[in-house]
Amino acid sequence: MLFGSKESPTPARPLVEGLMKLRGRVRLTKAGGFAADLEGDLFAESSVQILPEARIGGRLSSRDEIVLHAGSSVLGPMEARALDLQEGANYSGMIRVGPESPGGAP
Amino acid sequence: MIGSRKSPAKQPVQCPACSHTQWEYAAAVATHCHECGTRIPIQEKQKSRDGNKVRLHVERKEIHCQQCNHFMVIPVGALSWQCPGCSSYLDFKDHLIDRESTAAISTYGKVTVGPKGVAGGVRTEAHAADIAGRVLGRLICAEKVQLSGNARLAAGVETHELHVSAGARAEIVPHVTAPVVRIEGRLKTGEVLADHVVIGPEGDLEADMIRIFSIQVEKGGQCRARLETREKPAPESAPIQETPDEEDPLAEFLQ
Repeated sequence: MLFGSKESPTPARPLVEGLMKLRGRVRLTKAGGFAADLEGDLFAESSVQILPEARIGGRLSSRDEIVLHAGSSVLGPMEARALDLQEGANYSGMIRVGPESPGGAP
Repeated sequence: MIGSRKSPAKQPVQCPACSHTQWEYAAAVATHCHECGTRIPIQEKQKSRDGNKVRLHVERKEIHCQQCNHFMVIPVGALSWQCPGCSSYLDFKDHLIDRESTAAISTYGKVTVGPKGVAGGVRTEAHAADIAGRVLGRLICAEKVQLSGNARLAAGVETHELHVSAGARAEIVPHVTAPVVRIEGRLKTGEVLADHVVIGPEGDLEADMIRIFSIQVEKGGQCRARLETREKPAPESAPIQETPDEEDPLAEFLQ
């Protein structure tokens, strides 16, 4: 495979979606998408896709990969094993990505 | 009698490189294009009109002057040229720096700085660069900058693509400006301003600030930085065309 030629994943089926406004800590125990408005922290036990229109104002961490799709917005620190921030996503914060990242720990 | 002397006959001559047409004396053997500086063989052209076809098969390339941005078409094999726009000397040679050098380099060729090389000029401009040593001045490249070994850039880099090779432990102060950044080795820097950053499975990027449109950190790769996404500038809107208030006077006739 050509270096950097990894195809962008198609948006996953959302585990949390809709006109939902959440406040506090959310833990996702299986891989999937997130499409809600969260004022707080999101911890994912495996890979998580932040879908378009999702808003997170807090810490985002995953024990696997985080995908930020175009249209999503995350303001806060982010920790993961791998990251795919796509063009059109909105992000601002400190990132720590790598095999030794403690992503997922609450 | 004064004023009765006729000036020698002139003829239009077309540049084979840029098609610019200019008037030249018919007796001239050759001239240079006033637009791009290419040599135009006039007599040989005459011969070809007479049936003796003479064709020059010279591979050419298009460039812009680094000083005045003048457009030129020049032979691929040229080692130097003079800009018809600003008369600057243009260097097309490749430069290898394997020891300390204080020369300011401005070339359309490639600059290679070996592991023990130090490019000490205030500014180093090139088409492409392979850096394994140190560059003390600002590095500006039109194409690709490849970093390997313990490459150190002390005054930043501005390039189309920055590639940090596998196994490299590179450092760039204070910032990187490049639309495409690919990291397979290790890079420590102040600020990265890029469109797209890819960090491979062995890559490691440590920066104070990264401003990008998109970033991909593959599994095994590492990145520690403050990150901000950039917003694409809105496309310029088309000029609004005013619709005339009065009716078209020809409309009656056209009906």
